[in-house]
Amino acid sequence: MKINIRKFDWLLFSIIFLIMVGSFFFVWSAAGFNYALKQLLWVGIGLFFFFSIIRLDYKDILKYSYIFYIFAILLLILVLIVGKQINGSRRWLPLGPLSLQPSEFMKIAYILTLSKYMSFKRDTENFTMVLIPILLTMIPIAFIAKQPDLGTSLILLPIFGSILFVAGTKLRYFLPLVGIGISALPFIWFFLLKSYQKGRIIGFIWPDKNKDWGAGYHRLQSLIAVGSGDLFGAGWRNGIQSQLGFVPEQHTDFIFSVISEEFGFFRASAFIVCYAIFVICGFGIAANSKDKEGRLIAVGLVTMISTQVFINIGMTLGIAPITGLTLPFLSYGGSSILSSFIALAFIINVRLRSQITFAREEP
Amino acid sequence: MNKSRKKDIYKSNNATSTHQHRIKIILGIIIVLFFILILRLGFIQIIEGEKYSGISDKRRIRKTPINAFRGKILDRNGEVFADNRHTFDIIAPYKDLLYFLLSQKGELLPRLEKINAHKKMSERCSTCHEKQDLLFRRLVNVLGINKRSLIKIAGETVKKVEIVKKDVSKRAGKDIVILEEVSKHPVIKDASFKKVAIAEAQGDNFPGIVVRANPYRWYPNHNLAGHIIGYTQKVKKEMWENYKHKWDCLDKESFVSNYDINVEKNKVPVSFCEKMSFKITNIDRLFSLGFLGDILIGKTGIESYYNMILSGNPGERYEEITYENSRAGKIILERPPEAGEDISLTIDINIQRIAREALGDLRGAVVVMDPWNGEIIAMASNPGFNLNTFNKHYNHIVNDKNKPLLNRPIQSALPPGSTFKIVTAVAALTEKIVTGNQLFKCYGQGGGHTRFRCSSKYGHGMLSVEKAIHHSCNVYFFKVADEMGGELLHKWGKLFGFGELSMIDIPYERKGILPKPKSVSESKNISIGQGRLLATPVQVTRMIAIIANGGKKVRPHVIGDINNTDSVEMQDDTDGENTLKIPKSVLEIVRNGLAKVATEGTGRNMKIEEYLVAGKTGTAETHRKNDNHTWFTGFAPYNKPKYCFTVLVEHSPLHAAEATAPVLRPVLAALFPEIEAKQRINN
Repeated sequence: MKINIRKFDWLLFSIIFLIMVGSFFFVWSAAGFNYALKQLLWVGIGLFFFFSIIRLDYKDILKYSYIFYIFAILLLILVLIVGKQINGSRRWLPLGPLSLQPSEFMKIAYILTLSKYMSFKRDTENFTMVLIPILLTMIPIAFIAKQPDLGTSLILLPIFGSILFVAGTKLRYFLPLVGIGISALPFIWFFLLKSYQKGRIIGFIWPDKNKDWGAGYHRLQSLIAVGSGDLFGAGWRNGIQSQLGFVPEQHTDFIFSVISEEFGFFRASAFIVCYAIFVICGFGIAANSKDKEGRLIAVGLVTMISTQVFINIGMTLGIAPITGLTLPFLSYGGSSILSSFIALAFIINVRLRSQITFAREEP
Repeated sequence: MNKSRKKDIYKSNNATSTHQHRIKIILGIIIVLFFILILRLGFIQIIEGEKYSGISDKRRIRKTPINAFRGKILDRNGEVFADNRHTFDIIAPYKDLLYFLLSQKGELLPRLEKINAHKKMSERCSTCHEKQDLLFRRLVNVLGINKRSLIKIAGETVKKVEIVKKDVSKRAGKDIVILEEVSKHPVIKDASFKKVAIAEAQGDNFPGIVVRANPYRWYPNHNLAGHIIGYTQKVKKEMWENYKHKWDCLDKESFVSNYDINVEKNKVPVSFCEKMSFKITNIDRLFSLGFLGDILIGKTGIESYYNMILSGNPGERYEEITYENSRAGKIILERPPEAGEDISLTIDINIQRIAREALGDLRGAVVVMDPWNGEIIAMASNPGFNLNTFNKHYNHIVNDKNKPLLNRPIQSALPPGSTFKIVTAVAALTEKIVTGNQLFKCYGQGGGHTRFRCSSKYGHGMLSVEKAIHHSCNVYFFKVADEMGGELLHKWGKLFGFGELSMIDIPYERKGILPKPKSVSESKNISIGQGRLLATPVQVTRMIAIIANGGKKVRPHVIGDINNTDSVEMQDDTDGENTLKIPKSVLEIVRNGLAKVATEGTGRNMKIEEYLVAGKTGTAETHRKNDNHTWFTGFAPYNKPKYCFTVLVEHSPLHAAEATAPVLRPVLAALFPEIEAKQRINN
């Protein structure tokens, strides 16, 4: 099928372009120019993937979604065996000079698979159709949680919810799911969570009580950085808290604290507005998609990105627990950039092949 | 194509109304969440912004003081009175000491159970103790010190700090991090230069361990001029807080700037400050910069009065602290210290030494001054104290019955005795109560006047003023006082500087008492320097200087010049107010009277006539028998005064001439070496 270049979503793309420019300069500010160059390299690779993917029809790609899913699961198993251990968790798969984070690709493979499954099943009235998606969700969650990477594993839940919701699952089916989830909490707390994860959650709920537990410290440092920003910020590369490296992981997980400190309230909230526009565009694409597969893919991917944005910025601002979630398109890191671009590619892919364009061709 | 697409639109619209609805719901949820993010961002940055930015400034930038060298204090010939020296401590962070001790002893203090729990919880800390153990083991090897003594020192420090911490935490009812816990403590005190050099050179191998210089003052002349020089102390924050209200007003400028008072002269309550005659200490500024107890400030004497000049300006270094090891990263700003300026005193170290030696075991004071400009040549106070061992012997010095801390020349306010007769005589002559030739008859001790009697049993016979001075006839001056009245006596006492500060540049001067006589008997008492009248040796010296220089009321001072700059100028007090209008004829009569004291008057046995001394003895009786305060004040040579001097011997059983002569003679010999030499040849 020929690509209609007019359907290319320039608004969406320019928003992403703006965010990428911000990413380049703030990775530079937080970690140095070399990191920013590396980031550019990853953006190049990301763009390559992006353009490769939009050339293909997403329906053709979806045919192989189960294979992607199994491949990603295998990678997850592999990373548990030979993964590189950083800060006490095995998340990275060494590939020569680079290292990949399979859980990032697992998310996308999972969304494709779930969308495929949900669009294939016509009968949304049947409760049994919810059981397979639960299984599809629980396997990656278990493997990613084993790394351990609680943040990434839990982000599959809102994706699961939104895809099922948009796919037309009856609302009464969600109630038992919530019930199962709540009854599983004690089990998760006592058997699955590591002590530092518990510490982070406790540190999030009672930040003053658990300063020794690490998470409280990170939270405080991040808040100090954000709070120092004021309305107009300290100026690029002038944020003392960020420049002195008090905020941990500030070029990856905590990059938004650098932006807040150096750019101030107005420009930092402009970034959030950019993400909001992105989300609105994304859901617009989903709503106007010609078929169910495209709609579910777009909903899943946009949910993934917006959840990540919310949790990442939320933890920077001290209203979400500290997890290893990156800020899509902004955080430094090859896997994060790559998965973000692949997600973007699928969203635009859906748009390019949608039957409906806005206003112009309507009677 | 177009048609089918239209169909598709309608079709999809119908079929997808539920999913569009549901997408809108999800979109709404996400937009609300993003809106919460923006609200939260605004809350932190705008409303709570100040709170957080305050925290960050404190944590990230460390201000460290760079000590400035304190200026030296020199005598008038460049001999050193006070110098700087250093001892070096090698210090380590408290936490390192604590962990090292734990790794050595393997025991836990109660509080440390918590640390241990933390250690178990966090895998990262599992190697903490090993690190410290390794660090100190290397330190022991490199510096060649005894490990057991290191453990002992660490143990003592930890014990001390933990006790304080426990106490403080108990009182507060919660766990409190005390200052000692985060500061550094000495591992080796008073380290040798070799060890210091090794520690400095290998500093990178021992993170956190640094060399700290402890400045201290060294006084090559030990106890020679302890009272003038004064002692220094490390500033304690508490001490400063306690005295702040007193000290604030000492600094006129800071007073104005601190309290934003109108600079108009009348509105600034400077009178008290001026009376205290302190020079400003810039302590407040130092504390505001975060200096803690490392700076020496003068507590008494010259060290205190000229503290600001001597202390110089400590430098500041602003360092960025990076997260790792909390070690200093790059230096943002460094203001180098300005060394304090050296101060030259007018004191001549030789005269001072001789004066001190001449006093021997006596309690008393010697003041030698240039009558023309008020330069103090020597100012000895006995007993004294050794500044080098002052801290060590502090309790002993404070409890000594002889009061060695008393700076007698300016603090020992005693009745001046007959030396005050000079004032009475000048007053009477100038106010024309008596004339030079007028004679009075001295009735001696008889005549029914039991209280107001003369030292001579049978009386001096007919006396003129001149004779009355050199015979120190009480009766003559009683009569004069009777005729003159208390008012005039008080006025002239005041003109001669009694009852007020001499404004000498040494702090804690006492002004004595010049009472306003209310009765005839009181004015009689005061006319001969008894009764409630009290004066310090410096006041008496200034009085005699006025006679010597013909009416100029000089301001005594010990500051000579401040090297390299002329930032401090002694005010020249030669303006009208400070010059007494004494007719030449009066001065002539009084000077002649004083000159005869040494030859045929009360001081004829003192063997000082070779030095052409004009002076006056004074014996102030206490209420005990054979216990007098004896004075001799005078100037020499009488025809062309070069020095004026005062000798005070307290609680002497003897009369003035006998008590003060052995002290005065060596001082005069030192002041006039050529006369001394001639005399030796003659003998």
